[in-house]
Amino acid sequence: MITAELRHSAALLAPLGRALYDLDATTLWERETATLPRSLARRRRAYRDFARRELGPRAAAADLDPAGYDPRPLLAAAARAGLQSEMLPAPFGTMPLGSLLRRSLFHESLKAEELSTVCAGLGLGLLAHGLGTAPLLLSGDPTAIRRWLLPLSRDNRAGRPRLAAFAITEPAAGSDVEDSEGAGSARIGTTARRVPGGYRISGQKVFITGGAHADLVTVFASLVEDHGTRPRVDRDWTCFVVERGTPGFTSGRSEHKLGQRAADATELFFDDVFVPESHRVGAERSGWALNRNVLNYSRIPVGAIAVGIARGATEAATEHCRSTTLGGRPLLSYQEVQLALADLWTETMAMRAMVWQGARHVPATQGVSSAVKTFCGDRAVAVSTRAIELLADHGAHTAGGVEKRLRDGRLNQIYEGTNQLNRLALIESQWETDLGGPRVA
Amino acid sequence: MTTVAAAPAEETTQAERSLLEVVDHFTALAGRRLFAEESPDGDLAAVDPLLSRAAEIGLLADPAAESGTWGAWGTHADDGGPALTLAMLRHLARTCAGLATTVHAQGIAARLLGGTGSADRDAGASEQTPRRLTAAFTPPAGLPIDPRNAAAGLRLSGSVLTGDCRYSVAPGTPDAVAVAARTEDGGWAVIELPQPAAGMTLVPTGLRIGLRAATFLDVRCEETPVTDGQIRARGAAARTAVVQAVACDWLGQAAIALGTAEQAVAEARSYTATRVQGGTTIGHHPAVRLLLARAEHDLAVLDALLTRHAHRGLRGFEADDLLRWAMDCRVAAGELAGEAVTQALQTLGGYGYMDEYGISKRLRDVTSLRVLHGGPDQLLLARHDLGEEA
Repeated sequence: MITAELRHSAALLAPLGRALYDLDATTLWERETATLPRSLARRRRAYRDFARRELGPRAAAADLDPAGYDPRPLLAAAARAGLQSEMLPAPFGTMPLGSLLRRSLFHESLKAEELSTVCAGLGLGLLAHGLGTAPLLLSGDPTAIRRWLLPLSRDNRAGRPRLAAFAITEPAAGSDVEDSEGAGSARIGTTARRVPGGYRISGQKVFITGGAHADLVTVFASLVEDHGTRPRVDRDWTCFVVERGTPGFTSGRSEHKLGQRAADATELFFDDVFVPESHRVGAERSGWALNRNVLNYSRIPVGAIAVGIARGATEAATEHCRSTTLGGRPLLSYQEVQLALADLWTETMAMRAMVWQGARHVPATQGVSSAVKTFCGDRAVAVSTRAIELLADHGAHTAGGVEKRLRDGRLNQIYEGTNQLNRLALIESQWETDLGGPRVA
Repeated sequence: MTTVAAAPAEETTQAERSLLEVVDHFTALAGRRLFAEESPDGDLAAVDPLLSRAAEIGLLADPAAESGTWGAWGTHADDGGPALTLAMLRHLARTCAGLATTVHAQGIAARLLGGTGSADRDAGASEQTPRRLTAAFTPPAGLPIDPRNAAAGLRLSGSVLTGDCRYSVAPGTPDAVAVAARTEDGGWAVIELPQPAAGMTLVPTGLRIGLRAATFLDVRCEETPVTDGQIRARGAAARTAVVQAVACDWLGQAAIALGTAEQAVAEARSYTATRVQGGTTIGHHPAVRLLLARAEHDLAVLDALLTRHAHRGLRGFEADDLLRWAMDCRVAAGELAGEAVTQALQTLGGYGYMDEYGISKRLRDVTSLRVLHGGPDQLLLARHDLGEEA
């Protein structure tokens, strides 16, 4: 609120002084959007409008009854809106050519925040496609890009939704496969064996987002030799594309989980699945580096998901305080309430600043990405918890719109590597430079 | 895992020890009935028969019956202090915080009625089965110390009750409502209304993040007639009952949060002893050990705070001292038990997030407890307004 007295006083400033004084009544969202290059600002508005229009009406029901939620209409709407084909420029995709190299991570992060502000679960169901296709792009393998990524992107661009899912986690290996230290001894069970014309893949993956509906999965398996050497993730991992309908490839149950419930977390089974050599992504045994780099790129948008969750909690809490009276006055008018709200807005702004700064790192950097993911995941939980506290009893009720954000945000401290693991990833990344640690052979 | 320290051994009577054994038998039964099949909140249809069983064995307080002496917040706390009740709730919460909350809610309503007897007991009701009660007060709105809420809640004008009271907790469908109402002279009245009562409606508050085994109701009164016989206390006696109910409510919530978190940490510790990563059980990894160590520390601090005055009879407390201690416990429980559960969940990684492992339910439950009948800022401000301890 800018008082009349302040405006009057400002009017007495010299012209330059007046020009340097921002007295516009503009939302923080608009102010921050205005700092972006025009093309990004335009996209941010488009993502926000899409999220409000398409995710808003679906969010509550999908969270309440994820088993009854059919993701296909939303996937189709997202495809038509160009959200599922942004990894490539026209004519194959919808990413502006000028943004392809240096801003695609920024696009993905803006999209992640806007979708997750409305519903992180529905948002994740859409964003999982980008993760599923990331190995194809980041492998740098022209064959994989041409054979898989171009048709996927083209179909989505044409409004025919086709979904990819990224499959690394196994029942006995979660954080192991996201960490250098654990990789050497990880009990990885999914293996690929060379056979004439291709490979046979056997094993199981768990918690695969989009696994229930994906048309194809980018799956990581250890290449095993006949002489029985124990496979190592960091030496033998290789990425393959497995299409739905391939004999021996099935999906199992989708887990019942605390939050982000609209996005499935599904078991995948590979029972001696044959894939031809053309389904291998990149070179044999390049999977470890490919996996790590996918995570370097994905952890920034994952941080942005956390920003969206915190923003959703903040906006819901603000709305509650605006519309609720206590002692005959709006809750918003109480100073202690204003202090708490200010904390929520401030924390969310700090998270966003970190994501936007992180998204400027091209190529994506392990230390930065892990720091962004960790900080934002932790703060999203803190902001959501504080918002619940602010709303008190109302905050614990579904109708308050805040408790869901806590449930959703809690996942951001776990997936894409737990936050403990990501802290160690930051140290690993900067070991010889910022930390001055001894060089590792 | 540290066992419940209801009281120093030398101060725990045989009767109290026996009662805690009964509680443990009951919680084992409750665990089997509630969680026989995978479900995020258990089989909620089992809650009502479990409460009947809890009433039969004397865990539910009843202001009208002898059995209420030893139930949660029964009259034993008047002289013996809250220790036994807090231990009971802590034990119950290890199986299900929602179930513990229902037993607690019955006790709070009974305490609000203050052992004044229940003249309106249904003629046909069994003396062995206390009626289900819910307490209608809205802390901190019910506190005389919060000026923001002077006009909030239920008000008794003459012989008519008007207003509403949000988030009353009940053990299932209540047979009667224990009301804390403001009177025209600025004081308090404690009223017992049968359910149903003319002009009074009980409205379910809707889906919550946790404590789903408990029933949450908004009590709405519109020109509800009140007879002299339904008014259990007025003036100073009523205020004492209201303050005790509010304070005991927060203390019980803290105990339930502590029990919930203790069980989460125990389950996390078991998990870390069997789950292998990096070639060794994850319990050997410093990152995981730190998570558990922090949780254990938090619970030890909360335990110390909760047992600080637990053997002091409620009758011997100054009202403000009791409120101060209760607020400290509730605010600390929200932070410490909440943090401990989230640390425990983190040790399980992705599995912790899945309903199947049960820790996510404990996180939902402690989140509910964190704000039940008042957010921390409200409690802290109210505590400040009480002034310094004498």
